[in-house]
Amino acid sequence: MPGPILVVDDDASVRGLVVRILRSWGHAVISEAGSVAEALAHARAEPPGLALVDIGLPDGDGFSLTRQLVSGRAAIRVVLFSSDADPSNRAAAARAGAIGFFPKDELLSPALQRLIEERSDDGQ
Amino acid sequence: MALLALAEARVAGGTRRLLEGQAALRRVTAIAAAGEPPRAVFEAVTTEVSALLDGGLVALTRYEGGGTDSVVVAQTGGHVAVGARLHLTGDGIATRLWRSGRPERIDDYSVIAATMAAGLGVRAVVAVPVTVDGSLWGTLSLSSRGDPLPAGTEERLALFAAIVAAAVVSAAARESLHDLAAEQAALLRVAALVARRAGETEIFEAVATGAAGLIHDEPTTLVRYEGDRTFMVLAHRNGPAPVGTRVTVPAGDAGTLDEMMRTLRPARLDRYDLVADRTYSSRDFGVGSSVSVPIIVNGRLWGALGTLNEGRRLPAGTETRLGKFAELVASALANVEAHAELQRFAARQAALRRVAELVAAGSALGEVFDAVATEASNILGESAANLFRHDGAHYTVVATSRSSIPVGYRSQADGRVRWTGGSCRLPTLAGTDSARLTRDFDVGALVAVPIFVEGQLWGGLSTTTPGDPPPPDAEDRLTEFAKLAAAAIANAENKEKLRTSRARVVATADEVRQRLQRDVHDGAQQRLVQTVLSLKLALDAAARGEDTVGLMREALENAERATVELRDIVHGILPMALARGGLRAGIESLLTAVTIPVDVDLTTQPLERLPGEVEVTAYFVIAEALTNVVKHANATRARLTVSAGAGRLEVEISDDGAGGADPRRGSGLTGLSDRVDALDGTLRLTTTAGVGTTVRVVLPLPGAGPG
Repeated sequence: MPGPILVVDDDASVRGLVVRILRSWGHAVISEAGSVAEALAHARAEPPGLALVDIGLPDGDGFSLTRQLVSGRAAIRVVLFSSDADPSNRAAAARAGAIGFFPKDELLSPALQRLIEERSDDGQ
Repeated sequence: MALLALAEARVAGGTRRLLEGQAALRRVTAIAAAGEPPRAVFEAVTTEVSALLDGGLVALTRYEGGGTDSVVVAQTGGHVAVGARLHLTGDGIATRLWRSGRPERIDDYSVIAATMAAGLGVRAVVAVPVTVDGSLWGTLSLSSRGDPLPAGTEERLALFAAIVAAAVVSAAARESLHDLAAEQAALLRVAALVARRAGETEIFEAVATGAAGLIHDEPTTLVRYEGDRTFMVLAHRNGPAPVGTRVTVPAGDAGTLDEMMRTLRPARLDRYDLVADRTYSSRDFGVGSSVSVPIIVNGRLWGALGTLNEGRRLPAGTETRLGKFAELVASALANVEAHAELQRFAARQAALRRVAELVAAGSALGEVFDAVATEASNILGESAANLFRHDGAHYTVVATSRSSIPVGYRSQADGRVRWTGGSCRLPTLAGTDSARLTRDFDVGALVAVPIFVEGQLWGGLSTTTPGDPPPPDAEDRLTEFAKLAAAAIANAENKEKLRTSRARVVATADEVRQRLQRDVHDGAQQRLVQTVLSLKLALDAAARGEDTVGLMREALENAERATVELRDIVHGILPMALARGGLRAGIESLLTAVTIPVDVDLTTQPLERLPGEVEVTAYFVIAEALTNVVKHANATRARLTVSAGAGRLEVEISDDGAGGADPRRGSGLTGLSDRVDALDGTLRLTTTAGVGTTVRVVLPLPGAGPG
């Protein structure tokens, strides 16, 4: 089974959709955060194997959260997503240390599923 | 025999005397004919007559003052002094002869009481008239301290008197020729200076020197009449008062200037010390006697030429000579003055133009201020100039030229100074709030003019002196520069306003873009992404044969929310109703969202469409004002009036709320003010605590003529 996954987005209905997608892919251990602060607190308490992070957050942005998550002891893998499909987000996400970037309307893509599961499998 | 011898001797003596007399006459005639000066002829006459008449006391006198005085012009025998003046009051020989016009004889002065002759030890005298051109000029007299003079003395004297008369006539002719030449030469010198546009000082000096030359270099002064009975010394030749000295002639003064001012004709006063009121002239300037002649230009007193000495009577004819010269130089002096005035005018214009060019070029205010101070100082004869700022309670010096007051000097505003008269002149600072200037900076007197910028007192421009009164035209000169300073300040302030307004426009545009981006990104775009995701999940579920109703409903809800949010955003950019239906439709759409009652008067708004920018601006003014009413005014009712006509659109929104709106708080109205400014309109906010607030905007309608 894939390891624990953290979904970070300030919009609860988006989080709900993402959780639903992950579940459909068979991930069971999923937690949610609505802000940078909540995400960091959660990561400290129960470090996830992977975090799906929205770029636009009310108390900061997904890039800086990514840098904090990947540099911690837990070495959390991060995938960034945004409703803004600007291609430059992909490079910026890579620079911040994320393993990938997906526009929100492509969160159902098999590429994301593979990205999540590849590493999760490695970790098994 | 003895009798015969005596008779022969007498005949011989008579013949000898006759011969001697003819020789004496020849000598004197030769001197006169040689064109010697009259004085030489006069001295020769008295010498020869005295020698001929056994060393008799001989005097030649001239009548002056129309027969009131008799002056000794030559003598032999030492019984009287040359220059001695006899005032003809008694019964002396000169008085008798003036009356009779014929030879007179007094054999015994001792019987006539108190005459000068008796005082001189003279007992007997014979005098004959010297008649020149039919007028009694003077007398030639022979006096004796002993016996009466022999018969026939009259005839002998008369021969010499005729020679004297001839000498006087020829000398007068020569002198008048000489005077004419001298006058011409002096005039030519002045005219040449005027022609080559020499400086005023040089020309004035030439006039004074030329005039002095015509009256045997008596001390001569050229003065300018400044009005109010005041004369200023322009130039002088050995005169007692330095150039620049001002003399105000007291009313009722008995001096020559006073008389000349009254009559506009030459005036003479011979004995100043005898006139009680004139003793100041005698004391201050050592005036003993004087002649003043007016210089009249265009029928008005321009100035005067004056001569004076310490006590001697000035020669007869001084008035005539000076007067003629004054007439001749008047037009030249008027030209000089007109030219100088033209030069000053040109200099002033050039100085004003230099400042105006700086203003027009939009130079930095500091640079304009320095130029205003410098040029004002130049125009005011290099006296100190100060530009200062007024902030209600204080004045602060912001620029100076040739001033002892430092830039940055700050002083209390003198509450007693009123600018209503357009200027302020303080002949002394004692007892004013500016008294410190005297103590600290040696400022004794000042003239200042205010600088008003857009109707508000901004500051002022002053000139200061250590004590002398600033020139009478200082106010006018300063005002010209103050106006330019005001224009520069208004210009700079408007530029600054424009700059901040532009910056605000840019900032507002950026802000609007950011808000729009945020609104779309956080709202409609989010909703549409969710719609897409939900539909994809539903498709997957359908493929698996699962129930998709929940996901479809979610997708529909998100799509509907996105529609509403997009509509709101589009409405915020430019309401569709306004774009399609004009201002009336825009207002109606706006009013549906206002939560308090609004009385609307759109009756005079024309039905046809207004220019787009006018409609949009009016719409946003109304929208912002109504938003403020609802959000901040705590009002129960609002009123909206829109009227168009006479080339303009007027919009007024008023409420019955708390009032006290502060336009600086929040950028809503400021942003609108920029929009209104951009259309050359006006926005006025009237707000009274407890009464309410009114926003009134007037927008010109393009294409409409003025009015």
